[in-house]
Amino acid sequence: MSRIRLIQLGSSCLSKANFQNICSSGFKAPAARGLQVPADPTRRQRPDLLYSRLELELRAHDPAVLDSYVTFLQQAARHLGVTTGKLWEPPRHYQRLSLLKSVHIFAKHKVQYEARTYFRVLELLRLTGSTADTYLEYTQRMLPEGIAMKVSRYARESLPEHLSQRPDQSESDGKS
Amino acid sequence: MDVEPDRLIASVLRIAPPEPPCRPIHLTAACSKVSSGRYKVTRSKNKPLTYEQANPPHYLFVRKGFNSFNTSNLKDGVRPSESAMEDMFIRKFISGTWHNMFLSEVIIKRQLNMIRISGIVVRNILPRKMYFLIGYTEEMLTNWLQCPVKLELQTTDSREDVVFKYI
Repeated sequence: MSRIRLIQLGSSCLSKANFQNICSSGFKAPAARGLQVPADPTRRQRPDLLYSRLELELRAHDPAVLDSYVTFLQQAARHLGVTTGKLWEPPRHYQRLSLLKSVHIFAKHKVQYEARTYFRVLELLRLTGSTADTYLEYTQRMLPEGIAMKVSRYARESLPEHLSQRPDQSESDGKS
Repeated sequence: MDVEPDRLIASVLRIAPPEPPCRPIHLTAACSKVSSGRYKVTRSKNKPLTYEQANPPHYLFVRKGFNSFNTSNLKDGVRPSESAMEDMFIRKFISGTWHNMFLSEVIIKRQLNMIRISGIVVRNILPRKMYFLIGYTEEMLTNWLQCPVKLELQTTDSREDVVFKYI
């Protein structure tokens, strides 16, 4: 899976010759330098994770920065060949604080402070685990100051056995 | 059996016993919106203001941005008080270390676990000393705050460069 992903990457930003160079030099380098790579038989054999959907929830005080970052996310997805799904804005959240305008009395005159949180949710569809890791690594390193990102990953699981199969109906007493 | 004199007097005079001595502290969030971030006009109209100072707080997001960028005060943000205290500490440390040299506000940006501090500094000391101050500030703050701190400074020749208007 990771190979496939690398080839997709290569097609967009590297020429094929360059990519093969990297393959031949970069991947074989540890052994050539005499470094001992611990043999991990399970590493190659384990299939890559498959996500049906990735939800990126972004929060910020400044909607302009948020919009610009969402544009960046979509561009990165387009260049990496990741399918994007819906983009929506959950209702913004206000934290309000009512205070007296004056230090002591004069309760008729109040003043209100508020801190707003704006939200954006972007969906990414049908990703492999390695693509998701690469994409998130890249985009989260570019995360501007003051923006928070929450990632929810959704994967499909096979129906568990106790639900897919009819439970054993026979009476099991100690005698039989 | 001993009775406290205060309580004895109170019971004789049939009044409520005195309250234990208390030290009231001020817990109200007094932000003084009326006056904070606003500057008084002088009679001779010669008080220099930067662009940042010339715009009162209600112009945030309209004409100017925040001075601290972090995610602590968003909804469900973690450690808002710690961030605020650290920011205050950084500002005090900077204004003491770079004494009378910061012409702009100290901008504090938090990204992942890194803190970047930026601002405009006047070039009134030798470059050697300025490099020392940068290294010193970064090193000390990194040690205190336990995270990488970087200084991103811009320098300018004279103090008049940042003046937006005189009031």
